[in-house]
Amino acid sequence: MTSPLPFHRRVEQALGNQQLRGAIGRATARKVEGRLAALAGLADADRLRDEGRRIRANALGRLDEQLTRFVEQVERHGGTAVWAPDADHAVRYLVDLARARGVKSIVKSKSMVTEEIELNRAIEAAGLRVVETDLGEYVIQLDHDHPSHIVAPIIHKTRQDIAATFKREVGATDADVADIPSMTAFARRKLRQDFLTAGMGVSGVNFGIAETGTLCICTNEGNGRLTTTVPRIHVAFMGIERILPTLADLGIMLQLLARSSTGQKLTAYTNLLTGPRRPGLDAESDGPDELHVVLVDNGRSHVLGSELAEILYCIRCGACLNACPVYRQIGGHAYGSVYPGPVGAVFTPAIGGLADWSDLPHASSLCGACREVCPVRIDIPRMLLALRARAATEGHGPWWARVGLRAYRFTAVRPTLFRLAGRLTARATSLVARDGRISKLPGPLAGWTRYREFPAMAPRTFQEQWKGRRQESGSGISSAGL
Amino acid sequence: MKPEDLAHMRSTLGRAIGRALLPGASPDGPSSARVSQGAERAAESPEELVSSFRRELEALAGVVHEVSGVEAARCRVREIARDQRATRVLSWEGQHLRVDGLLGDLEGDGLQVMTGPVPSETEARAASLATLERAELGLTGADAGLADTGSIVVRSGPGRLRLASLLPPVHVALLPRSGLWPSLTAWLAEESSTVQDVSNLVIITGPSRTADIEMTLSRGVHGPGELHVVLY
Ligand code: SF4
Repeated sequence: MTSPLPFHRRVEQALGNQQLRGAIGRATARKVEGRLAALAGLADADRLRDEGRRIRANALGRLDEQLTRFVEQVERHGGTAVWAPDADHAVRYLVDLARARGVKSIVKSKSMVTEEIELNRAIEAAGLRVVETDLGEYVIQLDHDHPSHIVAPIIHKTRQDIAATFKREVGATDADVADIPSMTAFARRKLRQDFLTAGMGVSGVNFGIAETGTLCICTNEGNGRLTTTVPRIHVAFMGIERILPTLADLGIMLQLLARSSTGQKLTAYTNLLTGPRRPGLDAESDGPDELHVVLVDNGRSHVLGSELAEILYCIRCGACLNACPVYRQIGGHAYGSVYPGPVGAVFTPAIGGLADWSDLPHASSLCGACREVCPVRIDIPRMLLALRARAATEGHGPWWARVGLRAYRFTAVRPTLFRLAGRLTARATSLVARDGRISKLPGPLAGWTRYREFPAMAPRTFQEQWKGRRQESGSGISSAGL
Repeated sequence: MKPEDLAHMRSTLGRAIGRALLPGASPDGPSSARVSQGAERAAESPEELVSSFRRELEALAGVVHEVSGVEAARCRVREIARDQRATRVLSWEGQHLRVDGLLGDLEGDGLQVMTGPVPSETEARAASLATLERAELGLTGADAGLADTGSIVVRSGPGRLRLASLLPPVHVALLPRSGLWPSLTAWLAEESSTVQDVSNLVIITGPSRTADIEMTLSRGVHGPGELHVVLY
């Protein structure tokens, strides 16, 4: 999950890319409108959101019981449930299973958790073939790129980019890429062959229902259904937080998910799977013969036992990305992790640790737009602040910030020194200011003034002015005023 | 799950929950949001259910064929097959369609009818899939229709191929008017116990779609690009 460039460099790159900014700005604006229209069509949107929040909070408050129930039910229906404490356990289970069953080729439907655990890399390292089948993820895989949005992975690409990829990587002709419907049809033909010949299908899970052991997987394209129906073996990877106690809870959450993520009332295919194909005399006509559910912890239980547990309420709708003024400027790649945007700014350091991700909690203006749109009202700004505080106390972040803060503390608790420093700073800034503004600071401070001006400080410090006033008006009045 | 893994899972989570900060949690009880959702909808008349279902599905470019009675439904399916110039149909077995004689009629019209099942053994499976994939039309029943979203609920089972609503470019579903429900919530409230009776239940809301390329809607990317519901 580690990214090669420091955060501010990634941001600079993104800001310099006009095409990216245009595409993301247009797309997120449309998504924001779509979500508003969809929620407006709901008689009770606000109460439904409260209910969604309550359902998620309660499910997590009893996650041990709920997951135990879920495991029992999955097994009762003939599936296999596996506990994966970390990414390594999870990917090893899949690779071993594929080897044991003689599987050579795997199809995958979109899943964030498998990207988090870098499943594809492990599959390919084992000499097996894996094909992403969501149209966006397919393009990403062909391009060796990364998704830039959790719902719309190729939001940053133009149709020309994609046409070029199809021609270069999979031999598309000019006619195949003439327009968007032709490109879609081309991808359908290509991927259909992969579906029909794959020995295993790998999916994520939107929700796992504890009372029945049912997996809920939502896709619009139908690739989620093909992945879980055509190959003989289905392996589902599920973050342990994805539990809902009952099917009634699912009814509530589905209404919120589709509306918040794409502005639809329901996703085109809401697929509910309870165990593999039922065998026996009266066997079902099709479906996988084996179902494996890999429950991925990978840091989540640690997050659950902390002040950041609320981020686990997330249903990955992507609404907070579309609403975030920072995401809308820099797009998803700049975050450098699988989970971009406001949710990622909390979730990534929460599970990955602050050592590598201490700058992500700063990728926010704390305006609160994410909390405003979140279907389960997650208080992301609160947790960004908590992470910033944690980074400071644990000593992460750049050395100069640590040294600077220590120097400030040293000064601030010594009144004489504080007064002196204030006076010196005021004098110094007045030397570089022009017309009450500083437009260019020297040396390491230059970053402050590159995109904006800095107001000059008042020539006399507050304490100096205060003292002056008291002398003018007589001390009795002002102390009475205090 | 291995017993030691289960124990590890439970103790890890139990410890975490003890320290968790979970704002918004509250004791379970009948919630106002759920109660109001149920009550509002109970009032809808059968005509309102039909018109809402139709409006919603048509908004998603689905086609609703309103006909009266089983006989008319049978004729309409044959017409659709003719309009599509279909030569092969991937279908549920006749008794699950609940429209007697329909498959025989289609065969009489010169169509090849395929109903599975798909074998488990690797090579036989691949061969079977390659044949089923050539169908131009998929034919299924529908266990329910949801009026407020224009969705149909389709269960798998013996004689009920999942692939029939998935592989062909066109999907035709037969839905009796009596199968209409006001909403998913209303349907779940009565029927949720049946979800686990079969391995797969899918709620289909319109044709397969994607907007991945430049946010432009395009249909039929993996599933059927056309969805016809014959409401009888
Ligand atoms: S944090 Fe909320 S708004 Fe953001 S993706 Fe998760 S559920 Fe959606």
